[in-house]
Amino acid sequence: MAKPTNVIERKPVDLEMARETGKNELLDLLLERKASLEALIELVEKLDERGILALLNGLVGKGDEILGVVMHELNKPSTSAALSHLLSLGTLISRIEAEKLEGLAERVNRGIEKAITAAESDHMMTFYDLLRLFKDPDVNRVLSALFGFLKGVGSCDTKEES
Amino acid sequence: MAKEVIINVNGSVLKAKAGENLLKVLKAAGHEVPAICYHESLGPLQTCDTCIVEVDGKLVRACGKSVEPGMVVLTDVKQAQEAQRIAMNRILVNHELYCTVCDNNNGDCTVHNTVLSMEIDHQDEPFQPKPYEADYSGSFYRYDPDQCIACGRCVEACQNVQVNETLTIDWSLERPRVLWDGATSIDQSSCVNCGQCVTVCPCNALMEKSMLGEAGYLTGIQPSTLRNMIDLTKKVEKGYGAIMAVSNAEAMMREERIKKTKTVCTYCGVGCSFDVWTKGRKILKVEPRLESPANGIASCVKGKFGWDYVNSEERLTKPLIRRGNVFHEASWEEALDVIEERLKAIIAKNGPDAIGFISSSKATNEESYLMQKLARAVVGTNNVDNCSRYCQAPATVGLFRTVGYGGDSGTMADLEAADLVITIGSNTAESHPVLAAKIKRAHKLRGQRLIVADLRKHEMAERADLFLRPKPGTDLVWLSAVTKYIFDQGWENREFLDKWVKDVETYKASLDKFTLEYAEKMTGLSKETLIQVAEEIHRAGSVCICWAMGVTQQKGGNDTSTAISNLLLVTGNYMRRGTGAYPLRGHNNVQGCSDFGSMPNNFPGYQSVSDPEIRAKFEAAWGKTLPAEPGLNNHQMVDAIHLGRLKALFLIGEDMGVVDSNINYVQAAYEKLEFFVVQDLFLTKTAQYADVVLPACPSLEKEGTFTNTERRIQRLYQVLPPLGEAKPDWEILQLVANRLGADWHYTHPSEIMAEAASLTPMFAGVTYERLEGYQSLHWPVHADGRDEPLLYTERFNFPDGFARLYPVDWTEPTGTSEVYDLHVNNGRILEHFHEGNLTYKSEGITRKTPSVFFEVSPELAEERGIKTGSTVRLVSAYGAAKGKVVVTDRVRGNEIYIPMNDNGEAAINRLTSGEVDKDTDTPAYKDTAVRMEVLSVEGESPLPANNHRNGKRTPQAGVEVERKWARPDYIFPGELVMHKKELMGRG
Repeated sequence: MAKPTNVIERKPVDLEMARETGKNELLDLLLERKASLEALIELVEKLDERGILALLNGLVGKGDEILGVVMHELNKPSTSAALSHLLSLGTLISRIEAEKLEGLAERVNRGIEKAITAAESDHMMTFYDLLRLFKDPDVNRVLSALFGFLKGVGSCDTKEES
Repeated sequence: MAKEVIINVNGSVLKAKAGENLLKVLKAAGHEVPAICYHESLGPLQTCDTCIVEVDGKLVRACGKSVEPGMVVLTDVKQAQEAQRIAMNRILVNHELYCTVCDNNNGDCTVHNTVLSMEIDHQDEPFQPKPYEADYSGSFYRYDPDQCIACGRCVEACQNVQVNETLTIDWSLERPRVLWDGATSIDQSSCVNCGQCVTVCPCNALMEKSMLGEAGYLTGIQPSTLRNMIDLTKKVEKGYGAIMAVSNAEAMMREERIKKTKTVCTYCGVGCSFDVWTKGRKILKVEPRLESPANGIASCVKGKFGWDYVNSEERLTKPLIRRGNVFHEASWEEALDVIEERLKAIIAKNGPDAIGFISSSKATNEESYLMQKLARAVVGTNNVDNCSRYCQAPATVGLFRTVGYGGDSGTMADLEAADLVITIGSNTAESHPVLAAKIKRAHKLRGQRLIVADLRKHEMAERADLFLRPKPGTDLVWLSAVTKYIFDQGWENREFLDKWVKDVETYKASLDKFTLEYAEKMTGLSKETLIQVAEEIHRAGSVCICWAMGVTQQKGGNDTSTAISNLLLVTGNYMRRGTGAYPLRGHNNVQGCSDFGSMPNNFPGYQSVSDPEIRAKFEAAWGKTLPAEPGLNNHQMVDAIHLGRLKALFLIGEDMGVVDSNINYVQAAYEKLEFFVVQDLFLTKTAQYADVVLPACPSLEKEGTFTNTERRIQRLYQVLPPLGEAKPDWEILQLVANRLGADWHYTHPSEIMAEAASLTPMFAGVTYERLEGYQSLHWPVHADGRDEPLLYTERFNFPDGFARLYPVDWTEPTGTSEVYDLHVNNGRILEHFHEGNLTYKSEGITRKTPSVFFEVSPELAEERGIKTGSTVRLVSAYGAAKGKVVVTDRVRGNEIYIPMNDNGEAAINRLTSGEVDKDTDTPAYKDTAVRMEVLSVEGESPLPANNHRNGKRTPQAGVEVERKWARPDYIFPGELVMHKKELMGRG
């Protein structure tokens, strides 16, 4: 025998109870992750000591504005050109195949050693000495490598143009 | 079957079907060919030119080429790749790559992925903005011409998949772009917000507004800063390599916080499935998928965008207990205490049959199963029914009489394949939009014939080859007359009848009175029209008939449904692809709710409660003695309350006090109940009468299965956790059952399904494993997992395997009278669902369709001196409703149409009567008569200017790429490459 109604009396939220439940849930969460939390606290401490935390707070707090300013600055022709160069350099470095360089580096080291020995000796080199050196397999290898490198650089250019 | 032929691809032999699309074949064989405009659901559009390959020495678009025997295809030759790069460069002039800060950077952006796979590092020509503003005017999505590559996928989806024909590309513009209705804004256009254009867009030109600023980590940045970021990136980046690398990493990071969960839509019986993208409780978007078995990429406005109600602040989050005229929030324990005490007392005093249970066609199969188990095995009554009583029970009866299964006899694939589709009493384009789109597509592209019988000239009627407008409630007459004419002409399928059908002669004799003259008189359709219908059916190789509430919600709804099935049998339109009977189920689980036993006379799988053997099976399984007498249906329950025999009602998820007919009578019954429990999401009009209201979960917050109109069982997964203390209905039912002495321990709906399947031959092979992800099964499902998409391929579902022709007679509708001189038709509109409890929570829908309206014909408007915006009161013998008028020729004469989507003053069921279908007690909603009182003539239209009904469609064949090719500035990239090669050769 009920008339329709849409009146709802909300259950008063038992604040004390809700607090107690929330507290317990939170404690459980913390205890389950004790080790990670200790590490985190240590990190936070260090960040705070170095003032990084304060810096981050400021950054995050003013995030949108700072990002706006930074982007505006970066977008100026001079800055963007610098960035562009930086990135180009980065690309250059990333493209050099490091493994192949390893062998070369060793040879360069050996070369330096020889150079030092040569410099330290009093021997005067004659023109014929020089010609003879071309026949020396060690020297010849280096020269071939050098010319090979130059050729490689040159051919890249023509390919891109074609 | 197409012939299998051999072609040569990159020097290897490949088998393919002659005539098949070359690009599709290449992709299937694992050859990487870029393709941006190609989409499997749309087919070849040939707009983007990125899939150019060499075929027999010539550069061609792979998507524009069909497989021919012996063709030699090269995908990796330099010329082809050169041409592809030219095409891609043209695209990048139209699309700015700022992937990392783009909301579409989710790993599935076609443009992004193509740039990556083609290893494009720089573009020859820079990006050039277009001289158009982005369009944010619509409710749900925005268009950014600057990002649009004019690939035409959206146009194809709109013109030929949804067939709403709103989008076009103007190829005559210097910079072509997509247009809505030729020139207007998204909001002012005929766009129905089905969202399919957004789903198929290969980039971020079309985006769901709910994604903007939400999907990415960096996309929520202020626009000016964002612009600076994009400019900077472009300035400092020499190539795209780094952009691609960073954006890929960012896309991966997004996966960490965006959850994608498959679910099944709850807005109609089509059973669309899709992924819901969520970030916390926020719904970012709904993404239909290629593998969605019922819908593919298709969706409608409700399924794609109508989910705001899930996070509505009006949701109930705690149980409510009534004390006097006030509900008090309570704990679950307190609420269950009250339910236990009160129900036990009523059972003790009045017996179990003093309690009634009403399941919901919006709840899952498992929930329907538990509800009937609660009623039968725990309480001990068969008084259990569901709300399909309000819509589809007569159709089920008609099919049981004639062919044996109460469901669609085939799938939507059959509707697509049929030569002729007939719809009767179905506003298909608005009630089952995705299914209607398939018919519209077959009709537009393949020349499928379409006959529509309806009172209203709705969209399907406008598209029909033949539109019948019979007098209300006379469908049985014209159907029978057409059947008789077919017999008279000797056009019946004699071979089929002899082999498969019983009672042919008795039936034939029963048609005697349905002459063309009689039909003409009763239906108002001319003899010529009736003959035309018969000829169309006779000519067609395969016929499907779809019907809906215009047929079933009549006093003789079950007989008309039977007449439909009779006509199909007489013409041999069963047992084959592209044929059959399709009662279009209205709600997502109308089919499943009955299938799983929430019926007063049937256990799950339509196993009769009166059959001692079947009862014994369930008694053994449930360990309880079960009642043998069929219980009360919904309608009888309301009567029994008035008679004082039914004391308590337990109802799930149905605003019955608004959606049942003659609601004044129903609401008066509620007031007489001793105890009333309602499980729902909201404090609905019905729940306002309850003693205890239990907060339930919507589909997105639970698991389970639904069965769509094709008998297709599909799984839904939990997208979101329950809100507050709300619980899924199955969990609530278990809590209630256990308080009443049951000892249930279901921990997951899969266990409920396993139990139902073990007791129901029809579902013998249904398991959650077989329904994993996007997999689905059409019942009956055999123990080995074999299902039956097309029914009756071997026999009809009677013990002897024969179908029956079942004689029926016409029940004349009550109709109008001198006092109540206007006929009221009522039903759905596209954008709102049912009484509107869910869809009015969507701001985007409500701003375009804020309320219902009364459709009045121009003739009647003139006669009564009213116009669009006038306010009228309609008065029937049962009540009155007040609303605003829209004058439209969708209705004619003294027929008024009222959408059912209101629970206030304009609620249709204030007017409907208590009259019902004579065999199923389904209310005769469509047989309503009223008189009109004009309250005020002047007023604003209830349909705002931005309602899609005010738009003007721009139909065309598709994206019309030929117009692009004909542009003076267009040169086919392949030609360009060959020309260059020629020049080089000469030089």
